[in-house]
Amino acid sequence: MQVEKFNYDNRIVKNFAFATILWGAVGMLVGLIIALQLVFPVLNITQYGSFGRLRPLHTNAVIFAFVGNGLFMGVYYSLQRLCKTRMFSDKLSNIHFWGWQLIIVAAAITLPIGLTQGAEYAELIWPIDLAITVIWVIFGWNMFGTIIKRREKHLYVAIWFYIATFVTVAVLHLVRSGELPYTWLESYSWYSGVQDALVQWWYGHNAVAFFLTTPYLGLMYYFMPKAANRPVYSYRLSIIHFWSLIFLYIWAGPHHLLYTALPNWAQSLGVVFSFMLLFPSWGGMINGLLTLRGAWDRVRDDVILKFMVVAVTAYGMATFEGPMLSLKSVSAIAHYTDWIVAHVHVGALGWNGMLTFGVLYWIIPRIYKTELYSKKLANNHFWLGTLGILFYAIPMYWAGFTQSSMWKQFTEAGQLKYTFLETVTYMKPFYAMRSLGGTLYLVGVLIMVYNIVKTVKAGSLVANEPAEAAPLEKVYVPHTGEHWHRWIERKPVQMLIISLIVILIGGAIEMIPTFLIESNVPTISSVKPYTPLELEGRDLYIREGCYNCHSQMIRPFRSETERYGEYSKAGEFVYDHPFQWGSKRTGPDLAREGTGNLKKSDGWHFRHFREPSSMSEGSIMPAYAFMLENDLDTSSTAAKVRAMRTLGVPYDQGYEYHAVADMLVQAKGISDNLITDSIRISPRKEVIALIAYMQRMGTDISKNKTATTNK
Amino acid sequence: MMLTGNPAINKSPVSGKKSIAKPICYHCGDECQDNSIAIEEKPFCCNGCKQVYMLLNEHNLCNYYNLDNTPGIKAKGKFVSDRFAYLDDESIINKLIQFNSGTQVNVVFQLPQIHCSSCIFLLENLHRINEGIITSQSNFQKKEVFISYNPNLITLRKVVELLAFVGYEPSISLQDATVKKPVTYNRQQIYKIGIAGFCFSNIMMLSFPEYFSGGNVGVLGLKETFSWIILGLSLPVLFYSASGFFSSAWKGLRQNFLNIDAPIALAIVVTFGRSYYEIIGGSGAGYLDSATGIVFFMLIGRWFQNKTYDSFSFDRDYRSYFPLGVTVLQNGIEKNIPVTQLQKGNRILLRNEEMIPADSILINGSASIDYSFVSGENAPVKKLTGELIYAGGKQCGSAIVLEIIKEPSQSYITQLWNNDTFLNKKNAEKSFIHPWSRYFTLSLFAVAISTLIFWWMYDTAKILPAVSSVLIVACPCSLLLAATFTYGNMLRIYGKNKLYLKNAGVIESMAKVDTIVFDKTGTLTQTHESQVSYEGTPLTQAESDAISCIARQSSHPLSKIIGTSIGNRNQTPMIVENFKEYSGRGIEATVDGIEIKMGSSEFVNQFAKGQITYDNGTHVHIMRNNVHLGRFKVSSQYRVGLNEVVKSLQHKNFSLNLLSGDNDSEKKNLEKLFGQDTSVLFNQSPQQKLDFIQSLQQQQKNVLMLGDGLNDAGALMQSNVGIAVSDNTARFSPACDAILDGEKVQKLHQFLSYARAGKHIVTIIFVISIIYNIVGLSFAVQAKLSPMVAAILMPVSSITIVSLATLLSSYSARMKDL
Amino acid sequence: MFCFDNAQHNKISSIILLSPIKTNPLSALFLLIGFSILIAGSFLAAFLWSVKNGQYDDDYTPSVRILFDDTIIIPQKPKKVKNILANNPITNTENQKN
Repeated sequence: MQVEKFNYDNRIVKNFAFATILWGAVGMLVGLIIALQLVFPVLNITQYGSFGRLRPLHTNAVIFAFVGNGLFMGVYYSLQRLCKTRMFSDKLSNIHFWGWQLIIVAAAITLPIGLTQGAEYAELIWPIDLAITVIWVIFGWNMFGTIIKRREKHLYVAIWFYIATFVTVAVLHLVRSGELPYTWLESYSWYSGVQDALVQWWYGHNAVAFFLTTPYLGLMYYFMPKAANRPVYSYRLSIIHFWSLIFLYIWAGPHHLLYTALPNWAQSLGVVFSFMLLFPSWGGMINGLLTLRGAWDRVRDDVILKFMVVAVTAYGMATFEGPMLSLKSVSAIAHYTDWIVAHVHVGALGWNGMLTFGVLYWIIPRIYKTELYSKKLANNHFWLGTLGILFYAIPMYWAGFTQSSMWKQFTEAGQLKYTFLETVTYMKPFYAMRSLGGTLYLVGVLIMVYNIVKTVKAGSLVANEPAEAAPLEKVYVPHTGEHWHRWIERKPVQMLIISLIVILIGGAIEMIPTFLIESNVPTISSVKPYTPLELEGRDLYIREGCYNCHSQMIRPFRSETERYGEYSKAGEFVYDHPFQWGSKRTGPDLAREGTGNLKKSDGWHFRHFREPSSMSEGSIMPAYAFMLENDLDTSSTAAKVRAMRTLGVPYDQGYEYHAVADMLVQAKGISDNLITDSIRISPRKEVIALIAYMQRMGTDISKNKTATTNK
Repeated sequence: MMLTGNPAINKSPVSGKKSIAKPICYHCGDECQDNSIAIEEKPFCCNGCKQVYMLLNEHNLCNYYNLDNTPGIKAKGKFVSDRFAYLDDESIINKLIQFNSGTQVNVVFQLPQIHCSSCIFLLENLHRINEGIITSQSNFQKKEVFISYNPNLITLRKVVELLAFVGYEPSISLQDATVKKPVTYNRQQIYKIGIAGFCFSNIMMLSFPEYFSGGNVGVLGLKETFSWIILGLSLPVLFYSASGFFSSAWKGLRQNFLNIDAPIALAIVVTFGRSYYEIIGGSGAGYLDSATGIVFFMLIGRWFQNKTYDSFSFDRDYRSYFPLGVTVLQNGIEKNIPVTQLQKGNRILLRNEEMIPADSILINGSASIDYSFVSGENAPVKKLTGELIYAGGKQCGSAIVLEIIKEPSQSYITQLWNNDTFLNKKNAEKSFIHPWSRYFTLSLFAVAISTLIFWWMYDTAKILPAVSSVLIVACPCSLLLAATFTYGNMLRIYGKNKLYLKNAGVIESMAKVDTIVFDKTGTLTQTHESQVSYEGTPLTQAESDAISCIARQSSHPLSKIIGTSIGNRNQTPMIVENFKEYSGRGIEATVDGIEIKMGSSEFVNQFAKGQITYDNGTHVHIMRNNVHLGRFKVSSQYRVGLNEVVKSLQHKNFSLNLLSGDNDSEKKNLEKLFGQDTSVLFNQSPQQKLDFIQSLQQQQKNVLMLGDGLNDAGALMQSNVGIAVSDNTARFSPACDAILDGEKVQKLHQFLSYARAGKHIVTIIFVISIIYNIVGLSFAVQAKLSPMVAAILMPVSSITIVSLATLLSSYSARMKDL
Repeated sequence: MFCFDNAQHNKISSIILLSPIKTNPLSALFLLIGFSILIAGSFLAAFLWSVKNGQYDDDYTPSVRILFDDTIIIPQKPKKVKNILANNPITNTENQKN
């Protein structure tokens, strides 16, 4: 049993590092563009560049491409050193790398052309979802293989974080990818209305929890001690922190749906568990910061430590603000406002961004065996980044408070003080300052790119870093009763991974449909499925990403019922596959657009879609003039009706054969209306379907007053 | 050398820049006289450090110096290479190593010097220095290193020498008996807590619909499914996590003794049973969240209880206060230091009857070791120079010189002292609490049954919460713990004040003392400052050297004074043959051919046949070849502060008496000191002293005997509390119940009143825990106390009782400025 | 315009075992809770394995061990103190003289 010599694989680390930098810059550039679009609507150039389509591109690029590649870079570098062995198989590493980049490119193509599923952070169409599942399994296979053939008995806490990330994201992705494809590129979500909301935000929160936080805590526990050359403050605390975080994180989904149509006890469940989340998260933050106690003077002159300190502080702030925001009273104020955007960006820019930059500045010089090109530039990037975060977060907090209070303001006479449009125009200066913050942050990133490129040029990649370690002998731990343990050790890893996948997929496929097909008995008898034209209009609504600015959920507050009409009931959304409640009100809530004093003439909608600022002065909504020219693609309408019926929506048997004919009838009705308003347009245009959907919004409930509404 | 508990805070590495003050050694941080010894302008204080630096430099392990600032340990210069010779023989190797597979040997060493990250770095990179070593892993908290090496390339001795060379000499103890296995935490407990916690939190989450929607969840099927999932989750808690309570209750029952776990087990069964009945029957949602909550909080409570006991535990390592002293030879000069400061490698001089404080190797002098103290058989064992002598033995014969090879461990000696050969029945551990606990559980069941009947009549729904909280909230463990913890803390405080008690029972008997008997020589009198004068035929230089040399062999106070006062100090030690000591009366020996006898007048009279006239005052007569030369007059000094002690004791109406083996020359100043009513008796033989104490005890008096433990061992044994006063001698008579350091005699009355205070504290705490139980039960009986809150209260109460006991005893000690 | 007759919709109802779950709008919750318990359960198993495997016997030294990198540094410049320690009996095994 002699000391074995082996090599660490640095090439894969370099690949992921470059991908992180590239997609980071791209993602943040898109972010800056959409920020500017809110200030200058004229920037919504062509139908592929409108805010509705670019915002999902920004979120997916920054989360899955920038943070995704960042965490893979950190995992591939630290896992090999912690296990004192090379990655399980170079082939798998490469498949994982190139597969992930392919997925990103596919997303970058499909999202702008409008192929989306309409669920936040899960917009990618179903073929890409499948690809993500396959690539994620390959990553897990590679990681577990490395862990099993490790040469260091003890699994450092960072490895536990990586394992938790893999297992949980795998299950999350599977549950959220519950969709029924009806063409090669499109699909409907299995769940509908309230259930889709619950599944979406169970996925949404845990994607943030297990994709943006847990792996990065693992990176912090490895790279911070390495950068400071000091052990973590208390290793025991990090173990307790890990296990408590894992047990608690998974339940916190419902706090995104406070005061919505979700049953009350489910909302309280989300509140309680989100509040309990504060303690494990802060355990991590304290452990990180106290690692530097006594060495603060070194932080002054070591830029990597500066990045990490700001990262951990931002993590502390964001995870303190989160539980506060999940209290019902605070959520009543903050939900749908820009406050949420500020909270997200303190966490994302602060925690994920700065920590990724710190790790990059630490890793690149090491794997290239050279010094960082210029410490001064790195410092500039640090200050630009920090200022960028401040200039981003403070205006948005400010905007959030003003928005919320203006929405809720009443005059003495009991009337709403502000129309919604006034609140939007009032936000202009805040959105401008936010884009300034974004620009600062992006400039910082560009400086980093320059610095890293210069460093890489100066050094030479040590593709295979030689190392030596004694193999882990099973010699001195003879336990009796190790039967099960040895059985698992001997079994090849492939069998383990495959069996896990089979169970999950098998369970998901056969368990879900049986639940859902028959279960949507409408509690409100007056609620009827959408007509084919309205269904096509709804899919246009999803394609254009209108949910990025408009919500469809009226909360039971006087300020909202006064402005939007009767508050939304769970029963109204039973046929919505996917649900479109939305999470941000840059534009007004549309749940009752077709009823009461909110109802506008078809002509108003037509002119508004053609040029929003013509109907509402100062509106920042992009113009959808192209919908007046494009013909509505009715080729898959029949497939849509058939898909809806399999998902439990009660269309009659064989209705799909004369659905297109019915659609034309309804479309002609609308175009006749438009003629009375002196607007000549063919009933085949897309805008007609969208107008039909707009006019149907929220009308079911008031159809026959006697409808029994039991929630 | 930086000694910090947790790793040293590392400032940027000092690059050995020349500061005007003396440069500090780059390796170990000591001052270097000059920078004559340096490499690449890095100064070193000695060649040892320089060699270690070069070794590390050659194997590019210089990271050692930038992990921590001057992390090294001062290399002790050249070390005798045969020092680890004993590691070569097979038997010792097999004793030390853990595993041997021909090509790989595993061994674990205790390295007390580990103190920082650099140590860990160096100890884990040994394979770089010598390829014989395969791998090495250190454990910072246990301060040990696990090394596996290839025996064909390197031997165990070479491994140990390598470790010693880089400054981390392992402390190898050959008597593995004393090395108690460090207790690894009990994994079973962690499994149970983990599962209980997981199930409890999930059950609580799944009972949310029950909490918030008052039962009508408005969604059919959801409630029932959740109840069944909850039931499923509660099974592991009942059958695995709570198994501890059931097994200990069952064991108690088998010996028909109801211990504290019996009521808890019953409460758990009742709550779980009722919940299952409700869920399966569909008549309710059950109480499984509070049932699992009870188990979870009880387990956590037990965990913290064990933690608090450990931190308060007085692991009897009184190392720092064991009042035994030892004379150390530092290049010839005798220096007297307490045993605790003994270092490995010190050379000590051991006189007749003195105990060997630690495992050591005989350097010179003929040693005959009496191991009666250790093994009980009292035939002395002959030892040759260079042989290993184990701690605990007693030297009989002339003084010998030993070299310590292992840190002295006092807990070993205390163990011996407490083993049953010396344990006399009078203060064996018995506390008046014991009978209480048996009745407690019985009365608790009575209360539980009466609550059951009561609620049966009034409101059956309240039965379950009331009964289960009654069974849980009662906590007799505080009754049992009060005594152990108070006395444990008092032992520690007494120890700090250099009164070192055998066990906690001694405190209880000290509290009951009402009469005190003093011995004169060595107790009331101070030995080292007394004046010595000589009357008789003048002694030649050779004679006085011989006398002083013989006197220094014995540890009797008088002979020690004479030994140090005459003769020059640092002459070469003379050869002493056929040395014999008659304890308390005299010694005889021949030095360089001069045969000398010295001792009290009766002793010398046997040989001199009537040449001695009656002498007043303490005298030591000298005879050479049976011719009386003269006598030394030792005027002893009384201890400082003695009259305050006597006044305060009399004020507290203790009846005092004095017994002395000496003649009555001191009679008048003693009477002046003690006043009239104390009986003062002289010329008391040890047997007479014993009878006197027995007579006092017949008059139902609790007697405390204060003596020097030399000639009145029997009296000490007989008295209720026997305290031996020691003036840093290594004499150690196991017959006494406590050892008191000489200077602390004037604190006697504070010790006694502190013992009484201890008794009061125990009673106070006992009362408090009774009140707690009464209040708790009253709430529980009215079903106002939910079982889960009861489960939290119970561990909280015993933790508060325990900390209260410790705080009160420390507080009252401070009040009596102990 | 188009009226839909609700009566026909349960014609194609498949046989569902867990019948209580059939008729409530929140059955997705079972799915979520089912998966969450599945994940939490697997982490409990991982926790028990880690305790049994002795991962937490020593909970301080691993935090220091990660600081040491075990990569072999090939010394570029020749070491001038190369053989000073050659004659030292302790370090090199081949020229052991005792």
